[in-house]
Amino acid sequence: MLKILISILFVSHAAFAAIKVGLVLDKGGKDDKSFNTSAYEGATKAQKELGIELKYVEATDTNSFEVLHRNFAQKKYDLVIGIGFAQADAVKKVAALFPQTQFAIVDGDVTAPNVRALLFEEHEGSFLVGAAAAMKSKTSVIGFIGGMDIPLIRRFQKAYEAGAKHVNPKIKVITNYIGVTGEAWNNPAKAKEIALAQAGQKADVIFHAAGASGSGLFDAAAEKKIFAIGVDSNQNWIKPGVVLTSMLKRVDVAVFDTIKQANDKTFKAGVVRFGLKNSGVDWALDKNNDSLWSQPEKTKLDDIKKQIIAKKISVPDYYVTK
Amino acid sequence: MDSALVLILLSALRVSLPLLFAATGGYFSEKSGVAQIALEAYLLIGAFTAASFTYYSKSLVVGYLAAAVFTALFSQIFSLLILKFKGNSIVIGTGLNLLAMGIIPIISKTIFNSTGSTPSIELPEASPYFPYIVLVLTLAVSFWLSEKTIWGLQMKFAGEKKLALQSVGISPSLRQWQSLTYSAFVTGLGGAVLSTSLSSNYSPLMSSGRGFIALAALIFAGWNLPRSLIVCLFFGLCEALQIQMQSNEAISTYIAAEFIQMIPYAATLAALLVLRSKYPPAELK
Repeated sequence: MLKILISILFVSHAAFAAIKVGLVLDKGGKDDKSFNTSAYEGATKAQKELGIELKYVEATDTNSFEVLHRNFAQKKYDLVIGIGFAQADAVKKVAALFPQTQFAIVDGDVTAPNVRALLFEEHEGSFLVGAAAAMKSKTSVIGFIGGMDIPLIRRFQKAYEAGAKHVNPKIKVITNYIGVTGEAWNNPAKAKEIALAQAGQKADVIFHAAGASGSGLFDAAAEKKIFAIGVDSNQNWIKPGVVLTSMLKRVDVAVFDTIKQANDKTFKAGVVRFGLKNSGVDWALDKNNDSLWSQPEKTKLDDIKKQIIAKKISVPDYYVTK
Repeated sequence: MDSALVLILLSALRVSLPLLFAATGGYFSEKSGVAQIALEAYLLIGAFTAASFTYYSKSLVVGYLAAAVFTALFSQIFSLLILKFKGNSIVIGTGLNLLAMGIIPIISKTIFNSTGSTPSIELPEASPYFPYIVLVLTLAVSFWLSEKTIWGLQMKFAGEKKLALQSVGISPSLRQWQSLTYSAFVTGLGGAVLSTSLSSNYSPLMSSGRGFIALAALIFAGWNLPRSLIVCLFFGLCEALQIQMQSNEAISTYIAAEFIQMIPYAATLAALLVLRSKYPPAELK
């Protein structure tokens, strides 16, 4: 009896102390196996380890972001996290209306006294997988599939090309975008079509930055026996032997750290950048793709990585130079 | 076999596959005098059902059948509200599209604990020709039904002149109900193609406006089945060309990607100006 009483007391105490976190996912949804999955994993890790109270929502269209953020703020959530560039305006607006609530946004450059912007140096990671693609390409033709045509994805593309040309100056990079609306993140059939077209033009390694559409690329790559490169989450497991590597964007780490700091009451507003330096972006090597890489190749890639960190290689940034 | 032209033609055929099903489905609904804007919902329901059933049964045949049957069942809501309660088909069609968007995450949450997408389907020995066989069968049956049977004639009369049908003792609502159900059945097959043959899982909202494109093709081609199918194929061809053009360095450096992506839509519109017809089924006016 006493035990039960104590446990009830303990549980209620924990529930009282834990902060409430609202997570607003982008259109791709929590199971896109990519960007949103990564964010969701970070948040559920925080839920398990820190005992915070987590509620997540998925937006079905761009107009609902503001409403979702506002709902969380009105319900007195301590921290509201927006995932994706498309939520920048909504966060900016709602954060100004609820100065007591803490906000965080991934991929959106918002400056406000209660907003933390989590920005990634995607170009550094893309340069690295571009180099990886060029090392593995036998035909000297590689492909890139972007989701929605926005500056963020152009940033991936530009650095990927530069990375490939760093290894093989004569390489040809074929580029396609799926679309110009948010639907582009959820159109695997079209991504597959594009990948088949690129394979038809002799591309033998294709990198995608297209959220949930990426599964179309993996299907096409398996069909045409070429390599694919995943993005955001570690996607090596989806098709072992086909996925050469993944450009990791550790949204999970960024989300987890932000929640942890909010929980410890050490949350700070401002811009936080994640690059190769602090392992915010990286290339993925695990048991699923280890057999595809020889030791000299691994060393070479790690060497390029070190040179980027030491700024011996300058990676073009679409945000700076168009 | 690997020449660029063949690749483009094959690509065009694949892109237009779901459109061909959706346009055929839409044809039966519109011809019977009910405006059909819920094709998008039918594609989604079909895609989701097919992906789920194929995942568990490891059989494409089961997946396709389930997609068609469940979509036809889903369309009973539409038929009931329109034929029994005389609702406005545009309003109810919109409602159905929203319902499909909302109901799928709820179901997938209980089955797969995901909010919309299904696990990947692994079918290494599935025939790549399967969707084409289904397409040919569907088109043959649809053409026969609409052009060669009394039922087809009566279905069209339900859309042109209800009084004529009533005068021979046949209920126009009955023909419309049958036609609407068949319409959903066929469109559901299109959804199955989308999630099991053109990709290997269902992902949220994966129809991406294909239902509306098929409807546009149908309307602009003057509610004529063969013509609307040609328009769908033409759209697929332009889409395949667009993909090739975008990845061609010589072209993409001079024309912005946004404009290249516009080509399929612009070209289809232009083609439809030539093909257009001004005679919709009378009941639709």
